[in-house]
Amino acid sequence: MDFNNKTRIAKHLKSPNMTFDEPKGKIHKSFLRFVTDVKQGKYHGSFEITSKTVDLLKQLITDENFSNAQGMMDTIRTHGRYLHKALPVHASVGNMARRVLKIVREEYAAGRENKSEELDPQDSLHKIVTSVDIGEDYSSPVPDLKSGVLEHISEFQMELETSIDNIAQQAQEHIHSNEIILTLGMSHVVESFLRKAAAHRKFDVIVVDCEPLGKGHELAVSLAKSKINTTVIGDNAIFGIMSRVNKVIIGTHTVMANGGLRALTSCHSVALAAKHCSVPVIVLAPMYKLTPQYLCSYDQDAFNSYVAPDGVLDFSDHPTLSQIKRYCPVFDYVPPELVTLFISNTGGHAPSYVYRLLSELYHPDDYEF
Amino acid sequence: MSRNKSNKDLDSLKKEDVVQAVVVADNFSDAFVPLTNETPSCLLPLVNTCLLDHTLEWLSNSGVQEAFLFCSRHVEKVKEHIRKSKWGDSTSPLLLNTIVSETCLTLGDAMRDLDAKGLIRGDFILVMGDTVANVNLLPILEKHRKLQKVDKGLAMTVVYKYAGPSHVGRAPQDDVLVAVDKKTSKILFHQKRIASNDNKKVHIPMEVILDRPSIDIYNDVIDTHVSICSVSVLPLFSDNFDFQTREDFIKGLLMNEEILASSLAAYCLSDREYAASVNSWHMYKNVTQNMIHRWTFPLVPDMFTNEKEIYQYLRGNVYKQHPVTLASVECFLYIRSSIIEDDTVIGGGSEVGESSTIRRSVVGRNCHIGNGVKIEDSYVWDGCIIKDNCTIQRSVVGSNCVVGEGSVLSQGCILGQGVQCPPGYTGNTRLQSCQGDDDDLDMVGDAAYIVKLDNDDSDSEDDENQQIWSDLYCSNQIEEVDGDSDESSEMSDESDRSISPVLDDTKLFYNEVVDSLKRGYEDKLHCDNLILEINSSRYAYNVSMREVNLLVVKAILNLPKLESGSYLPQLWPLQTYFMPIYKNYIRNPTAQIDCLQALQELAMAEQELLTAVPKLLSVLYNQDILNEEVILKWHSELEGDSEAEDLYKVAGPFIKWLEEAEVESEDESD
Repeated sequence: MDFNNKTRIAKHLKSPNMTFDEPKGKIHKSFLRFVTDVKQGKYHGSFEITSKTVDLLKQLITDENFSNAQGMMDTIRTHGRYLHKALPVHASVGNMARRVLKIVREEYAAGRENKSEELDPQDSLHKIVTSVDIGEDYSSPVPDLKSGVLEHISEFQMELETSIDNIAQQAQEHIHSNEIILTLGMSHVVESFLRKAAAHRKFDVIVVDCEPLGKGHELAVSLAKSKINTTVIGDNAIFGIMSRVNKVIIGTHTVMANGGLRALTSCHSVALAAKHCSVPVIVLAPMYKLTPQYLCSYDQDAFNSYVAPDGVLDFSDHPTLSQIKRYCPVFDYVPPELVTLFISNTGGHAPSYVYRLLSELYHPDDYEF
Repeated sequence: MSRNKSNKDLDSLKKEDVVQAVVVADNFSDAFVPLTNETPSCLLPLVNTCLLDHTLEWLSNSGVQEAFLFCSRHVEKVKEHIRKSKWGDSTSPLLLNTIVSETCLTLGDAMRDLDAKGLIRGDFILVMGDTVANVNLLPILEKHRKLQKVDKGLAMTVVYKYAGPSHVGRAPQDDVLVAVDKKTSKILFHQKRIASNDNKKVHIPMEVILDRPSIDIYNDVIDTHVSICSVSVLPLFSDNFDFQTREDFIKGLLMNEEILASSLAAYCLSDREYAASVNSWHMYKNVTQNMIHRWTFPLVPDMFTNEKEIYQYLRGNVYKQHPVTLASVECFLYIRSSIIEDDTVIGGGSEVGESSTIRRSVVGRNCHIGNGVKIEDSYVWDGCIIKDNCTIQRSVVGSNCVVGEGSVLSQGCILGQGVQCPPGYTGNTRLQSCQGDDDDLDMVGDAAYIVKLDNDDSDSEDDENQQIWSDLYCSNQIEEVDGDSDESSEMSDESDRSISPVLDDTKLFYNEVVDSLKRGYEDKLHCDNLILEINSSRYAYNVSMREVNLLVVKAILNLPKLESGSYLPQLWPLQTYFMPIYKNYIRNPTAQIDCLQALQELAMAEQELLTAVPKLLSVLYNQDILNEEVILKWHSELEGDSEAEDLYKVAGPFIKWLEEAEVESEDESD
């Protein structure tokens, strides 16, 4: 059974000093609360969840006392691991913990300037690979580490907040006059991207409705209010209309380490149709969506999430209720070869370049919690 | 109102703005006996989390800020549970107040007690402590308030969920028919029905339909036992001491709408919203299945928010829990060559032995399941030990039970907490672990006693118990319907039909008539008095006139059989004595047909009477009770009927005489 194999692999991979299980008291209450709220759907969109995670981690660093960088990193890692385990699908939550860990490392390095051989994100690949084994010791005290880290996190929060705007700024480079753009579902990044472009150019948008979860209608209404020529189509019309489309612009939930996407259901069919008609697929992904995880299974614990089947079959539809198995998955996996270009807040990237971006964003030691 | 307000914001809110809920912890029934002997019903586990936690989780998610938990039985246990859970914590999103009143026996008592305590300030949400739902209550509350502005007397909004008749999620006791004014959502008519009732007719009073442009009549809704109440509900309960249940309240309000100046509204949930109250085994089974099928999303096992419980969701609706506390090696879930099939939940720390199969079932935490065990459609609670080669089908095994080797539990078998089932036990009854108050319980093993049904209950309640009893195994599952269960359900159907009220009454009436006649003849009572007696019996049992005719004649002709001695000598004095009764009842041609019908039926069964038929006919003819046309017609109908051949022949001579007499009289008149 595949579950069996997985536990075995997980046990195998586990290093001896790293247990999966935390004593309950160690996890800060606000984190428990946050997990509950996310699970119950109190936050809308991954941006909200992401920025809330950074807030929580910042608060954690403020509240706790640390003797050295190692202690701080251990606490962050403990909490990050908890979040990652409790919310396996929300990869950006784990990403934020990784990012904060990276910030601590950088601040530590900056505090100890005598060590000149610090990792620079812009270093060559060779240098990064060889430097991993050095095994940094983070136990030496660094003056003002905490304030430095907090300041750095604040900067990072600024970057987070402007990320969607930064992506939207690039709209004019990608959307040209009289083009027909196809998108799907409801995504805030796509919405602001298209709006920004519409301020200067005239183009048509086709929105795939993505029933039952996509809320394509919501996006269509919002675009129509900004005077963009918008058409809503059903999921079954994707292939038929693709030949007329100039560009596919979609958002995504997560970008996997190989450049594949975890995106709303229907994305895969859109990407396949686009491939067939040689239409470029542009994915708008702020940097926090890049995650150092690979697709290892389509099951919920690793990749997908399943919601109530009411969108597929009505509860009151009783004759079929006991005879049919109903599943309502939320995500599709889109392999990297179907993606033409990623647009992040730092610019455009090819899918094959994602691994490089990841090594800039997170320290390789933090990939696994 | 923002949904994620913290407690601090709460305090600053005006008191009227706080959304309050009353959670009634007890279900005031013994549907879950013996499991509720020691544990309150709201603490029974459903998919390894107790019902109360499901309810509170839902309330806090759906915008309720303050809840009153009303406990009446096993108060200490409820309090202890709350103290340990996150609800007792200071950071709890829901402000929970526990109210104790051990004297309450019904929901009505609870409401009256709440009224006396005066804790409720405004509109509140009334739910049972065993509700599983994912509805957002705020829009319903909003709608209630909007309707309240129009209709000042609005007391309660009853929440219904669509589910057609014969829907699997529909419990027989929640079967309901509601008529609602389309414009005002006001409930006009409410009738609870028993699903098995053959009576398909529904009587809706005219005044419900008159003066209203349009009404909706719902047959496809189930009561979720969730209601939005105005402040006036509590005083209404106090004023009417006969309101014991929510059902009484609804009925009473509809009947005395003008007097009580209150009305009810209905709210039907959309297909995306789920709510159900687990008040019977039937509902327990259905809600569990619905939860496993994720209808209750986000209230599904892998979304449970208790930090200790992280479930893994696998293909085929299989949920597995990883223990998080102190992982020693043995805490890991061992699944060897066992088969875990669809729709199954397995709690953390459980072990499943080799070549065991688990299907459509829930297994609690820290259970030890031996080798070669088969568990289907069953619920095994925490800490159970199921030894090798057991088979458990459509059963419930309470916490910490031990089921001995090779046992077979099937068809609605329910084991109370801590029962130790002896090896090789086979059964389908309820077992409990200790003797309790009665010490005459049948013993099956060291700690296993057969639970006795309360026989003091009246017949109808007994039937109801039986119904609840069988809930669990009267499964609607198409696959693998057991032959045994099929048979038994069919049998129960038949017995239902045979004791249908009409038949019963007729039989009783007949016995009454026989008694009256017998007594009358012995005491030489006047026939007029006997007629009076028969008539009053007729009204008492509501028997139709034609049946009366038939039965009275039968009774008279059967009377000699009851006396000692031979039949025929007794018959004639009786006939003469009861002639006034014949005269009273057999007045028109239809009655004469009935009379002949009775004669025919008895004659065909009774040889002695058959010989007396010609004489009887002539007596009755001479007394002008039967006229010749009817007799002739009856006789001609007998012709060709093989069963009545003897009768036809015996009556022949009399008929011939009758025909001749007729011809003669015709001749005379000419």
